[in-house]
Parts: sequence; C-alpha cells; structure tokens
Amino acid sequence: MRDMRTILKAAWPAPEVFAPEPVRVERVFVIAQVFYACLLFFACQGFVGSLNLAAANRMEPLWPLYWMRWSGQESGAIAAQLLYLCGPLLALWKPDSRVARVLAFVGCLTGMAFDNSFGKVNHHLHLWAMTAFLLVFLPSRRDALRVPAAGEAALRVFWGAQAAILLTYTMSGVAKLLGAAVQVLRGDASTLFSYDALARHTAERLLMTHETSLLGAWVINHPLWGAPAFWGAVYLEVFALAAAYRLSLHRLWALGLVLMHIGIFLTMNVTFSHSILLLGLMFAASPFATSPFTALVSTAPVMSTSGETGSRSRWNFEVGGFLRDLPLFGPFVKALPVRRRARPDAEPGTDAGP
Amino acid sequence: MTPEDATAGRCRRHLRLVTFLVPLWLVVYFAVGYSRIRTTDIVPFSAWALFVFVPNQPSVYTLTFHMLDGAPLEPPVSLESGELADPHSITSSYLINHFGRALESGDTAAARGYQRLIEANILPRNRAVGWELVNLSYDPLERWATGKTETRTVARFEYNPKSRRVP
Repeated sequence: MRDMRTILKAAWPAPEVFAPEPVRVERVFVIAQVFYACLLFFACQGFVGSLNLAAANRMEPLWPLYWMRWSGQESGAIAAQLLYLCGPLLALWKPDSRVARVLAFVGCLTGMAFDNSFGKVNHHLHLWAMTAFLLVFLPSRRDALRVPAAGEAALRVFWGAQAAILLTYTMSGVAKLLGAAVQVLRGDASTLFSYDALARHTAERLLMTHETSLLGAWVINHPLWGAPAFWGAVYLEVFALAAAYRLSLHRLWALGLVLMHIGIFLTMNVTFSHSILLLGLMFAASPFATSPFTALVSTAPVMSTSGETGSRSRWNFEVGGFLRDLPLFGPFVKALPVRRRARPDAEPGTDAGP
Repeated sequence: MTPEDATAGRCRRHLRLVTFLVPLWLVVYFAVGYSRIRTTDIVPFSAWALFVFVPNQPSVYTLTFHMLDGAPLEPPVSLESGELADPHSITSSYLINHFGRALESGDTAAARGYQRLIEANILPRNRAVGWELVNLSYDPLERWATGKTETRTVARFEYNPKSRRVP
C-alpha cells in the first residue's frame, strides 16, 4: 500500500506547481462555477428534445438508468431529465456544498446515459461527467482561500481534471498507433502512415452518413494535403497527457486540440462542440499555464520622440519557451546552437538573454 | 485544540486523500477504458478508440425496403435515398452495422436486441415494411469517385407494427 502511495505521488508534477496563491485558487472556483453553468445550459437545451426522443423511440437504458426498467420509459425520461437539470442547478447555486456537487455529477451521468441509451454510445458528455466527478473533491472555497493545505488540494483537483481530459486524447492517439501496428502486421495497403489515411477516413465517414462537408470532398480529392494534418492530430493526441506536465504547453495544446476538432467537423461533419467548450473552459484560463512565449519575447526600453520613456516587446530570436517543451522535438530544439543577440542597452560582454 | 487547528487538520487529511485519489482515478480510467477497447463502453469510461483502423476495404451493412403496407416496391428503395428513413443518422448506421455483424457471427441474442431497436427507431413509423439487410464491400476512395460497391443480401425481414412477425 505504501509503495502504491509512493508511485501515485510520483505521478504529480513538481510540488511548486501547486503553491496555493490566492489568485490561482480563486480562479479554480470561478472556472468550477462556470462549469456548472455550462452543464445546466446543456440540460436545459436538451430537455424537450430528450423527452420527445424518448416518447418516439425505443430505449435500451444504460446502467445509470437501470431503474427505468421499473419506472417505464416516458416517466423515467422525465425523472432523468429533471435530475440532469437539478444537479448542476444546485451546484451552481451552492458550489461549496459537496452534496450539490455530487448531485451535479449524478445528474450529468444520468443525462449522458440517457443520450446514449438509443443503441449507440456517443462521446459528448463523457469528459464533462469525468470532470464533474473530480470536482466533487474540491474543498470549500472558504477553506481553500484560508488554509494552505486546502488551497493546494483545490489546485491538485483542478490539475487532475485537466490531466483526465488530456488522458482521454492520449488514449485515442495510442489506440490509433495500436491500430496502425495491427494494420502494418497484417499487410493492409493503407495504414495510419499512408498519405491517403485521412482521405479514406473522410470518404468512409461521409459515405456512412450520406452527408457532405465543407472540406470533405477537397481532402478526398487531394489526399496528400490531408496527411500532415492527420499526423499532426495524432501527435497532439498521443502527447496530450505529457502537455499536462509542461505548463508552457497548457494553452497551446488545448488550442491545438480545439483546432483538431474544428478540422474534424469541417472534413467529416463530426461535431465535438462539448469537448471544444470544455477544453476552452479548463485550459484557456488554466491557473497553471505559463506564457508559451516568455522566453521568446524581451522587453526593451524605448524613448519616444517627445522624450517620454516606455517599453515595447520585441522578438529576441532566442529559441526557447514552448518549443523546448515540445514532446519528441523539444530535445532537438534544446540542442540547437543558439546565437544570442545583444540588447541595444546591454553592457558589452554581458549576457543578453531574457 | 482550537477550531483553526481542527480545520487545518481536516484540510491536510483532505489533501492527502486528493493526492492519492486523483492519480488513482486516472489509472482506473485508463485500465477500465482500454479493457473494453474491443466491445462497447461502460459509461463514463471509454477507450476513445475512434478512427483506429484506416478503411481499406470495409464491409458494412445497410437496409433496402422491398415492401410497404403490403405492396411491393419496384424497384426497392434504399436507405440512402432518404425516402423511407433518415439516412444521415450515425446512430442508425451504427445499429445496422452491429446488427449485421451479430447476425453473421451467429450472436442471436445481440442480433435480436439490435433488430428490435432498428424496427422501433429506424423503420418507417406505423407502417408494415418488408426490408433487407444488405452487405456492402468497397474501397472508400473508389466508391466516392465512381460509386462502385459489391452488394450481397444477408437476410430479408417483414415487420408489421400491429402484428409483429419476423420470418
């Protein structure tokens, strides 16, 4: 048990990442409250449609809706949608109450199970349910802002939720690599490493749903252009979890994944709008993110023609920042021979680095 | 012990729990998700195995309707035409493909479950329908360009919502 604790402790980033600065701790609670507002929005938006769907279709309820076997489909649908509505509403109103946050998780799980009880499991709310589960473990805001241990716990729970989201992308990327290995071993003509992989996926998806998309036909007819985008997407997915540990990559990786989702929508008409919202919410204002360009930009003092002094940012052409943290490529970037430029105001012979 | 000390102690215990529980959750999610990679997910876990295999010569299933309200349809109407059912639903496509695979692999119980869902959710509402499960095999890029597919009828069914009978 002690060994397991040691291993699990080693899974965390460096302890200084979780230094409970009040600004960062406060941000965790603001994001959590927006999270519950978004969940409430989903519940309201889908309420009537879900009831109509249940009235018109046969359901095969998933395990969180096992009780619907006794309630009947239509009344069960009403109960499930009310639970989905009330849980996030309570958590939004009383975010300090763990009971309310548990109800928000149960509501989200119920809503997700409901959406997926018509014969196919979609992935719209999986990440939201997982995040709602982890947010249950947030301490109260009052404790977090007063007691250092509680502030640290809040930051660790939030990082855990971010890591869980990124883990799912890594799982998807690794599954693609495993699939590619299987296809290479069985001698398939086209695999992940073929230039026409994205074109084939796009054609297959559009043929399956008999739809068209904005860029689908173009990608199918110009397969070579789609290849770098597909391999880039697999790179983003495979190393997503690594980005959780590299703070300069937090916002950039989320932006990359959002762009990937937009690309998938434009080519295959597969919408991951819920995932886009969650990535934006959890990473755009990540309390851990450092600026990816910190090492690339320096501030030089300037004097205007009127004699007023100020400062302006300028590129100092030093390779650094997020490029050094990039999985796979970072070590090569670090090894590059870098010529440092002297700042105009630097003393001769002094280091001009940022 | 002052109330402040008690609160600090409680918060430290909570921090220890979080430090242990969060990474454990990640490990459990990974393990449970991947343990179901070849079958259906157990929500909220998932293997996220999306677009895993590049389609070379996929073998997929679709529906063709050959009878409506007792009158034969000549020529038969395909699902793709959109005349009798929604051809754009990914859930329908998923159900039809799982039905086809279950039927051809001899998994009768699973096939029966999928058939019930197809009859209730995909076939035209409140109409007596004769329908076929059709297997399509093709190269996606070739089919996209020329429409070429190899088709094979897997089974024929009749469905009457008033007196349900499945031959």
